[in-house]
Amino acid sequence: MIKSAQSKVEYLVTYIVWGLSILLLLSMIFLIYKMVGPGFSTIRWDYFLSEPLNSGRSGGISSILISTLLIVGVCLFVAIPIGLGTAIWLTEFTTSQSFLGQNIRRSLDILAGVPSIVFGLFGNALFCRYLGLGFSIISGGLTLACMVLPILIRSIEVGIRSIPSEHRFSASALGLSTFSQLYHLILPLAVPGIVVGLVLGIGRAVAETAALVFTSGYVDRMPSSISDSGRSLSVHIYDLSMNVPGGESNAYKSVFVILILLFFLNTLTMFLADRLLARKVMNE
Amino acid sequence: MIPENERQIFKENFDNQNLAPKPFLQTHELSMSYRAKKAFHNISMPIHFGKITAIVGPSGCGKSSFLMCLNRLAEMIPDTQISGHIELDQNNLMKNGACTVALRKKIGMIFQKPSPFPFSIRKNIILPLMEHGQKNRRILNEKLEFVLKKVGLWDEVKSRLETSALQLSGGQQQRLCIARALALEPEILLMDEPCSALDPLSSAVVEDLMKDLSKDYTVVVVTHNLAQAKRIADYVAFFWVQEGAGSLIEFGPTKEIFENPKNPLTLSYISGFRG
Amino acid sequence: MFNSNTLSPQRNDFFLLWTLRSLSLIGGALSLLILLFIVFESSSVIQEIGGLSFFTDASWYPKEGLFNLVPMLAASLLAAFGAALLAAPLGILVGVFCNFYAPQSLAWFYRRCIDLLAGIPSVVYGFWGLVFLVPWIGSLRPPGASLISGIIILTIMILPTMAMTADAIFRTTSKSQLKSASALGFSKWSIIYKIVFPAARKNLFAGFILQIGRALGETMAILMVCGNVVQLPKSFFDPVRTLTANMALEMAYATGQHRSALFVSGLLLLILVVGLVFIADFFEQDLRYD
Repeated sequence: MIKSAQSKVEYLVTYIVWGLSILLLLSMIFLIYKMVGPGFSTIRWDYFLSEPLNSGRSGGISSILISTLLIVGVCLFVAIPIGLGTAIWLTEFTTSQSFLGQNIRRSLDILAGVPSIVFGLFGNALFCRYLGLGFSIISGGLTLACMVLPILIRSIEVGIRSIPSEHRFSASALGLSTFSQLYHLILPLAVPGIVVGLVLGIGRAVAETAALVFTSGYVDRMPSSISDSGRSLSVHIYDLSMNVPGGESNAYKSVFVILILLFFLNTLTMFLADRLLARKVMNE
Repeated sequence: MIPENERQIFKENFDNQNLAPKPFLQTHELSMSYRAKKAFHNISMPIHFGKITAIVGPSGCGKSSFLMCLNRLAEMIPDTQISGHIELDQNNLMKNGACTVALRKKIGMIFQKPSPFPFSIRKNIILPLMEHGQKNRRILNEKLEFVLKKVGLWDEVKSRLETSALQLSGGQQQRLCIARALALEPEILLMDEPCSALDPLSSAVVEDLMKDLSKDYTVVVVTHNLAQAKRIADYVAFFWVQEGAGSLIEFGPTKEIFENPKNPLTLSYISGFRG
Repeated sequence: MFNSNTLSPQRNDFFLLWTLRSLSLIGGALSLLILLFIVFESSSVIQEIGGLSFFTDASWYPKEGLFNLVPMLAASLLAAFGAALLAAPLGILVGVFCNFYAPQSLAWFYRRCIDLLAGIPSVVYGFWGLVFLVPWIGSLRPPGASLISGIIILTIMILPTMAMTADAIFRTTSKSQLKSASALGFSKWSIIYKIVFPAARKNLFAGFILQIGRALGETMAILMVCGNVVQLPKSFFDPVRTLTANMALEMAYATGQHRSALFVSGLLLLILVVGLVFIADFFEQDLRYD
């Protein structure tokens, strides 16, 4: 008696879980299709090569892509050395008890939780105003650098920690200096982790809008230098859909471009992370 | 120079022979603790020049930690504290600011688990050499050949020096690690159970190699294999856990320790091996 | 052979160490610097009109010096809580399905989809909401751009991370526990309900809190679908403006007191979100000692 009641519940729950999950999965696929579909069917190659015309209603996104590239470039140029240095210092030179190490870790954890709009406020105050860089690609890039730093550091840390400690011991036992241990051993082996961090960071930087609206600005013409204002792809999508009546079809194309780009970055991360994991398993 | 309890051990072992050689490396009341736990306590022990000294004892008695203190590698482990000092040719190795790089060039170390770097066989050996200032390609290649011959690996790998060291078998990897250490021309070799992670056949090869090496180097080997200690060692140090920390119970020539141990603990450990 | 010359430490190691240490200090000081700047920028208006005015002023009319943040704070909190409440059960459902019900290949595909959704930028969700969701809600009850649109968009946005969190938590539930429960004759659902859920409770709650924090900080999507009218909503179908939307809309042209007031709202948001992170941290740590 008890058994049949129990198995009834069991059946019911199984049906509910399967039904809801499949429904959810289908709606997710539908959602992705709805986002990508219209852009996919209308996009042409010249969309990448021509400048936006008539506030972006017609024309392409060449200047937008260049701006995006420059913003991400500035971001990485600043974030990589700081991120790499911090990650190496935290993993190789601090113990779990180190006062400075603990506090830097905590600070980075907090930084990871700060909303992007607050990064925007900060970037606007520090870079645009206080340092006098104005609405510019460099302000936007620096703001994004602050934003991607926690992700970058965490990924590099994971990469470095996956290196077995025997390597460190035998390198020390052979009298290799700290510098050459880092240069010959730790850094080459940490490359997959570093790349994962970079790709994740680029993904976040490309996706970011709120922090850029009032740091790198709106101007959609080709930037002449990095101290010029430049509009990133995500800001372009925002502007087309909110402020430009009739910008919808070109917005769809930009959405298609940004999603393909992010899909590519996402797949790359997965692939690299898998390799990293494989190496860790192999070495154990 | 030599502390009292140390002198006592000497006295007991060498009274009749009266030929105690001058120790090459000497620890003085060396203690190490990890977090709150003591690994070993107050160990004063000589290492004699050109001899094989085996450190034996049950697992967890601080043998490996002691060995790692001798080239100051133990300091790399977070939360460890070391006290006492180590004397090598009248230099205090524990001195603050002492150059661990130069020290480790003089004192080579082999680990329990073979740990070649994930590079080619050639790079494994020449990287440390280049690190210590040897830039001449001809000399590097000569050294490479010399040490690989020394460990009997040359004929096995000479055709594939550029392949990854990780593709070698366990025994080959361990011999490569020994060759890598020998390339730096150390005076002392520390070996932390170098055979225990190997299959019996490779283990025998490495053991023969150790015996061979003792002609040119001072060797300190940690082992839990008493038969091996008896076969290869000139001196044996017996470690045992006392009051929660590893301690040196008895030190002496291998023959003395195995045939005529002074301490009842040593006797029961040895006879356990015998029985 | 060990003369004092060779026993001196190497100089390039010192240089390296100090370079790394200063880089880490820059990285570590960033969050302090952010707090400092936000506080500094908001201090001028707080000094002039006092902190209380932000909650008691008649309304948000920055040109007339009225800075009531309450309607926007309410909208932010309502949208974030609503979305987290919707996303949490769905996320847990996905976690349960992928770990206990789905065959491996389907679970892999499911996770891949979730991954993809997690990577879609906020502005794209906003765009989709604008062209698809808002008209649909509008056809049910105008105007369409409303609190409920915001909640739905936020739900879709935080669902992937909630699902990933739940998935990761369930994956770590000890396999031996599950085996022994099966051996005792527990059915699959009672294992999940009586063993897996209680063990995962605190971590799931921590994940839930973190998602509220993320939803609170979300800007672009919610700005694009909420209608941006500064008012206390009377129903879910009323348009609202969140704190974040307000900053994004007005920051570009705000000056003087107005600008400073926007930094005050940023400070408020920062305190809320960081507070939530700390709460989540507390619950997560608690589990480790269980």
